[in-house]
Amino acid sequence: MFKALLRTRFQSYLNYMTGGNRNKKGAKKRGALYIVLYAYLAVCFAVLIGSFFNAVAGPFHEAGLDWLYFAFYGMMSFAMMFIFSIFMTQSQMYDAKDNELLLSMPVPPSYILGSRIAALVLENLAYGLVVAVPALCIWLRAASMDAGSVAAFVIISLLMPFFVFAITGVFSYLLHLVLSRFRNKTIFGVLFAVAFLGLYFYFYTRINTYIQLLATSGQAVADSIAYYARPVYWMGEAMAGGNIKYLIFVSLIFAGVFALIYVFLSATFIKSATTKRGAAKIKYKRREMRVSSVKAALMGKEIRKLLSSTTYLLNAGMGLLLLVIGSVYLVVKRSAVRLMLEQLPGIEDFAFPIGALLIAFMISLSLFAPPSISLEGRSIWIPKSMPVKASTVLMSKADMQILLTLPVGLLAWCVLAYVIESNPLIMAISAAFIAAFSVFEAVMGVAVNLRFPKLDWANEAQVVKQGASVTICMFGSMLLVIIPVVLYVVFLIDKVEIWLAMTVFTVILAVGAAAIIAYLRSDKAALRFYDL
Amino acid sequence: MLRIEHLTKRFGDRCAVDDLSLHIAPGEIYGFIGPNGAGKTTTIKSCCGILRFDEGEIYIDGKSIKSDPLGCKRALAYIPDEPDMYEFLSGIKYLNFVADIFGVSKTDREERIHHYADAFELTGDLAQPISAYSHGMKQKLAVIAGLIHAPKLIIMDEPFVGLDPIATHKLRTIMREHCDRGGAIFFSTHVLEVAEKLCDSVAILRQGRLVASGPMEQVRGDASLEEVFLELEERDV
Repeated sequence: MFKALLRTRFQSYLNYMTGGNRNKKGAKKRGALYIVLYAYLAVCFAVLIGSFFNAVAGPFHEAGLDWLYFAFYGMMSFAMMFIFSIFMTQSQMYDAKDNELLLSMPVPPSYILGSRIAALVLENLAYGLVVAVPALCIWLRAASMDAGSVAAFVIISLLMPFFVFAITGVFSYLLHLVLSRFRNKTIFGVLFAVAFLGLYFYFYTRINTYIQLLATSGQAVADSIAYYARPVYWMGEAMAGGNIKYLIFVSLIFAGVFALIYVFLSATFIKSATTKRGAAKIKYKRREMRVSSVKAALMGKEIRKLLSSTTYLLNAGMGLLLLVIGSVYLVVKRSAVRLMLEQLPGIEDFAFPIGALLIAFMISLSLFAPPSISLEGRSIWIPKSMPVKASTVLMSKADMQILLTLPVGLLAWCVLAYVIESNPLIMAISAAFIAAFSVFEAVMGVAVNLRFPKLDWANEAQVVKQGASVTICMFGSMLLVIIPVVLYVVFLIDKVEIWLAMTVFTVILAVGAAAIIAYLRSDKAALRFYDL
Repeated sequence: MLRIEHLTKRFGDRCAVDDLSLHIAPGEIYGFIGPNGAGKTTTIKSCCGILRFDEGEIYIDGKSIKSDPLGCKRALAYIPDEPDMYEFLSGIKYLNFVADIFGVSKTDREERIHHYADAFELTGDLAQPISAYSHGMKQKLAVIAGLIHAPKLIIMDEPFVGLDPIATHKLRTIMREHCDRGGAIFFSTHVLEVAEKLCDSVAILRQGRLVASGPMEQVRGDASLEEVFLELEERDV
């Protein structure tokens, strides 16, 4: 029975990666593409994380603080898994649409929970590997490890995902408990996530300070950790010196906490997954109804959908949030930025375009349109049966993204103009570039989702976070920013002026956007939409 | 009001609907019955422009669903068997959204929404999110949404599933009133008793093929509809 549940769960994961069973022909290709894209992301993270380990491995080893290096590995691994899985855990466990169906079957709740946990633990393990591989490689280059240390490293790395699940499981339970009492869950969910991310970014922006602190006062930091966070010390010592006693302590803590939480979550699962608490009935009062045009009604529906889902809002809106935070930061640090730019000779012509590219990069992380068709789910019959052209429905999804990204992008451009002095031509081209990029991103998101739709999801997080269209758009957009920059820097920087290169790029984007809009308005796109 | 001519729809090698022809006149309640997998829902979805078909033609109020799909959709209302609606909207916001899409005037939408919501005893729940509705309440909301734009033709797929007896009675009354005003109704059902009492005409479908159709009295003869249905099934087996 448990095997069947596990099979279903992994089949579901596989379906989202390969586009499901409907188009088996392209499934393998899509699966391979998906693996390549995720491998690319993993390498990016591994390089970032590796740079940190590279900075501390030598000094720690020379100071005889090998255990501290591994303690940091453990903490970073924990943080990586926790950050990436906290919201997924909540939605996978409590918001899955098949919870009630499975609970109605003669399946013990612990099995249902167990199958969900298995998937989440494997996901954690994947995130953990992104930290483990660079940490191990860099350490082996800077120092050496005996067989006992390697074994301890492997055992702790394998047990860590279970421990992280236990912690995220408790957070998810509490979050679900709190959210289920509020009528407007989205606001509280977003507030929680923003507070959480704020904390994360606070630490992230101070990471250099911490590295410096570690390099200069490693011993003092080590003493504090060894004194106040004893299990972290045990963990580091077990991996650094192959200390079996400490390895057993840490393993018992990880396994024990996981077992306790698993028992607790199993006991509370039925109640938590099925009880609808709190929200008092809203009394209907007759009011004058607002009449809107078809386009406004469709757009309003898209916006309401966005605002009703914490998962959608946070995942799709991350780029915009970063853009707003970055813009405010730039205004506050205007003098410091100007001073820094003055100290960089030859940057004056490039500073503004680089800023515009960064804005585009943030817009590329704003993925409102790519899951928007998939999010119609089983309600897809509504737009298909309405007396509205398919192109109007499809464009309303793109318009929603444009409405959100274009004003924020142009606002960020205004901030850029306030902070960085540049010639009017470059500024004007940059504004056009941001506008063209925003429109291109939005229409491309819809077109890709029309090509890779997923309507039979059990949990909207699966299309918002893991859907093929979201993944393709995210990586495609990043490459769209990165490749022209690399091409320009490598081949054209001495031959073509930056304003001309940007103009060409903007025109290509505008033409591309126009071509995609023409496709979305075509009969071909309409037929594809009605075939969904 | 609805004319289906030689409709054929295939899913791969399987023929879901095979050369089906039907004619539903204004003022007529037309029942569509058949076993599971007979092709009822496929036919209904084809009529509503939700599903493309391979051969044949469908006319709604004289307009072709192929050449003028929007004109056809404006004239009809589709009420699906599974009332999956936008759960993030409240009942009233969903109805207002549908009214916007069909271009219903402010006065008409207010009057119709409150009239039908009162009839189905749903008014008190209109401010609730649809996600909080029971299956029956969603079904009632889907019916109200279908009636907002005063369609000429109402196409319903198993409309009575999930409705309580009072709502079922109310829906039957509304269906009859709609046809008395010159509209037409085409609906599928497994409840043969309802079909027998309510329908003016009936079509029986089996494995995508029409096995009997016509006025209820003619199809039924001296037997009950259930007996006719079972006899046709046995004959084909």
